[in-house]
Amino acid sequence: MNTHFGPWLWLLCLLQPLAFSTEPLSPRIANYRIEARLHPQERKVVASQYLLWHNQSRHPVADLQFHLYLNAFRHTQSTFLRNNPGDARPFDRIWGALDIQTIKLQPPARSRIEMNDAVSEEIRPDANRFEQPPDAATLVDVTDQQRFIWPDDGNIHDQTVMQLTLPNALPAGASIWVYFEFEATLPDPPIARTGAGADYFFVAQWFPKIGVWQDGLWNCHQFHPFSEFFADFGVYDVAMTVPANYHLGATGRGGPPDQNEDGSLTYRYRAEDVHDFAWTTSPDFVVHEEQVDDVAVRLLIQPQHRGQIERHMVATRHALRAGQELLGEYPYDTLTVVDPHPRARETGGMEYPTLFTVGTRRGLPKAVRLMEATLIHEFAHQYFYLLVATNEFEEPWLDEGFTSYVEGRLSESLFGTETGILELADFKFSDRHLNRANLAATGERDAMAKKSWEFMNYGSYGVNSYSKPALALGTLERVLGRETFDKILRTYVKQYRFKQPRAQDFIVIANVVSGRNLNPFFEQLMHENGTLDYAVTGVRSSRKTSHHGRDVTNSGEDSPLFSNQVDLRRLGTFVFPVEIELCFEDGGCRREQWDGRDAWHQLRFDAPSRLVSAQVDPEYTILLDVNFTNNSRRLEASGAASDQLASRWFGRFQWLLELFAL
Amino acid sequence: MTKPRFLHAVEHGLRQAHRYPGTVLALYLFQLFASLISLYPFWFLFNRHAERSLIDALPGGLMNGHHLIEIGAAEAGGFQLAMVWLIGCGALALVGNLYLAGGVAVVVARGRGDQPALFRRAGFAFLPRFAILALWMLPFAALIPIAMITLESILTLIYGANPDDQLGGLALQLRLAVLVLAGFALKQLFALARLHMVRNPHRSSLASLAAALVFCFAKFRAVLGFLLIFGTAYALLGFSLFELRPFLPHDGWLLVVLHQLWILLKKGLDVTLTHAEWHLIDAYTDRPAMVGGGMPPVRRLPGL
Repeated sequence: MNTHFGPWLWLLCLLQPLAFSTEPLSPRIANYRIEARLHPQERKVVASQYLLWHNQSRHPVADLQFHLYLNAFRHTQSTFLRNNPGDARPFDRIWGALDIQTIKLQPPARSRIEMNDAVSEEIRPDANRFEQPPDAATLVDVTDQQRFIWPDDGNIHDQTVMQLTLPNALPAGASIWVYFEFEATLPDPPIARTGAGADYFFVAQWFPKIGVWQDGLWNCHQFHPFSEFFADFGVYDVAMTVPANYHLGATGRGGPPDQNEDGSLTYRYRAEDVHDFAWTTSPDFVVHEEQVDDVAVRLLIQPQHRGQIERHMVATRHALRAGQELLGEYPYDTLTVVDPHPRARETGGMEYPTLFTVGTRRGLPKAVRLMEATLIHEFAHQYFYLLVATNEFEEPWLDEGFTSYVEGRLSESLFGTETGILELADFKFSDRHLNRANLAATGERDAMAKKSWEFMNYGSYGVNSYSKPALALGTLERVLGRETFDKILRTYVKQYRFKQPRAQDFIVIANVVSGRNLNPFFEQLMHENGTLDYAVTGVRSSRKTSHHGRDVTNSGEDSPLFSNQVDLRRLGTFVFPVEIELCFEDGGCRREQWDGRDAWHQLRFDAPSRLVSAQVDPEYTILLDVNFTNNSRRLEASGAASDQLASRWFGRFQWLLELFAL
Repeated sequence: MTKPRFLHAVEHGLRQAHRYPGTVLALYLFQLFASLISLYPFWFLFNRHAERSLIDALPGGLMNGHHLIEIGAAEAGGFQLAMVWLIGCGALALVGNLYLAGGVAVVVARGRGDQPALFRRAGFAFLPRFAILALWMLPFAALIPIAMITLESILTLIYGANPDDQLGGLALQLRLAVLVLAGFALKQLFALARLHMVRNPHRSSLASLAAALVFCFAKFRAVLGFLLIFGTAYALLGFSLFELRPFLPHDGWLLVVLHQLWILLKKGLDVTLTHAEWHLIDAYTDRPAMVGGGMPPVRRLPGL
């Protein structure tokens, strides 16, 4: 090969569009054609799969690595269940598995071109290859080349990562067909959002899924209890055969099913520019279809929840419209919302490309909006991580934190600023309250920027992946202003849609768009576990008295001014500049600034009126502050607030005790 | 003797209620005391955080989730302590109510108006027996899920597999109402059993419970009437809590005062209903009423 032209040829390969049915929006590295058949009684999916994988890097690849996620549920010695044994109960269950019977390979295609009178060999992806998979009988059987590896913890019993050594290294720019025959057994009851219950099947992470080849290395982690997923974009063309009268929903778009001779139905779905494929089927689904602007929405809901169809659609319509207004166009034309069977609730609350699961209960009061909050959250995931495809293994906060923040924004615009999850009489509870509660209770255990399985426990994973980043983004929004922050978000989404950004990519955008250096903020946020807590610990005010002592001349009368002092403290280790509002007896107020670096700070000043109160962060912009009640202090104590609260609760206590009066 | 009807019994009770101001006051004061004791630590904790803070300035007011949560988080172990405290107060309230139940029943049975000394003696004397009665009542808690299942079956029969579709929020309210009524029915059973025990102090708790059950079936409409009166009074109390608040001063003092008046009235109603129940039970049982009775027999050791 003429090395002078090598890099240019490589570049040419990258620029060659793959001839799929639409103009590709993503790199389309991992493309799957799957034919699957559900065996309901055995909870099995028997399938054959063609994977067309492109090595779009500069490095040759000597092996391929695959996720076999369902093997996490084979037994209690897997990495997943060993670290989270509670998920395995009850033990007399159907255990999950992904058993591969056959693996075959087709060598990469090569073609020769002539350039400038020199013959060079060029590796170029063959147009239309995805639509024309090779005959499996002609492929090379490499079934015995597979072996399990344990890149994270060396647990030899774990079978969630499979390595396939290639007979010849795959050069940069080449592509390869890999053929599988496999059986996926769904756990019953479900574990970790996949499985079966009664006649309901949620089929997720069910096929051999290739890892991500990055910078000359495989990014293919084992399945851990707190971790989720990471994969390349591509095209999925999947045919699913299910028994007669089963309804089906899946990633992407599908048409009416074909009826087979044995009475079964085959649904064919196609999804382009996605990095995962999940499907669900049940004869019991009530199917509600609605066109919301350009998006065809399908709601698959349990029959006993039929009365909540409109509640689901109200939340879905709002999420679609408000979400696009905030984050930009939703690039797909379908969206499927799934209500899990009550015996498979574990499959609820999870996101997949163009499909997500929610979950509700019969008779759920309208004042309790857990279903709506979950629905909006899972929709927000369509942007973070399904569009902006961050690595959920290594940086879980980049999708969960952003999604939680967007969930709060969209819920606020639907339900109001202080409500969201719960609105019962005078007790209102929003996502923000929940996040702050989590942060106050468990915020100090870990730093935020950790791999998902490295957190101390699930609570720490939760607060550092969901609550703390959501509050951090909320704080940035209030500090920078909503307009600027929304511009940051939109720029980030626009620039990294169909890509795989890291935290630093977002920080760069935040700095550039805001025009400020936010690095110190992010450095503390991501790499330290300290809390942020500023407090006013003292307020003093007294009339200035005349001076006494040597060389002092005064009229002997007291000054009309007041000597005022405010004591401020930084109780946590997180440093953040704060504003302090000082209010006086004459009704006037003024504001001072403090950079927040020192452990304490004192304001001393004279004023014509007595100081009556001081408050740090009077606008409540710093949502990361774990304690708002110590942010202010009055000169004179007042029991008004506690008396008012007590009077409400006194009545309630009396009312409750009347239940026990005999 | 002609057995009185339910309404006549209630009327009779109403006519007699004014003779028991001390009894009504005792019931009210205990309820007030139990509520204050339950509330005090929470008020103290909140006041410690709020006294010097501009806490009511937060959007959403005092019930803003921020305050309750961060105070709970700030007070290490606060949630567990709160649960222990509330359970303890509940247990004490139960014991206190068992004591009061004995005093009220005997005083009403005597029919001579307030008798503080008798009230106290009877309260202590019947406390252990009423505690055993309460234990015997526990299996009857199965009444509650039975009532719920019955309601679901009726709703399904009328409205099909998805009654929520047609009834919407009303279905949930019906479920709640049945749940509460089932709970009140248990209380009513206890109330009748204790009166039976007072009337026939030589009989065991279990026998009194059985007799009360028989009475419930025999005088079903009367029992239902008592339930509805009690349930309505309780619902009105709750209604006043939620609905009157926006119309009254923000700090709630007037609502607290009105609430106390309502509790006092309700305690008067409790005494009235006890009187009516006694009247019905007394007339229903053919055995002559015990004169000066109502107290359980005192066991004496031989030779004393």
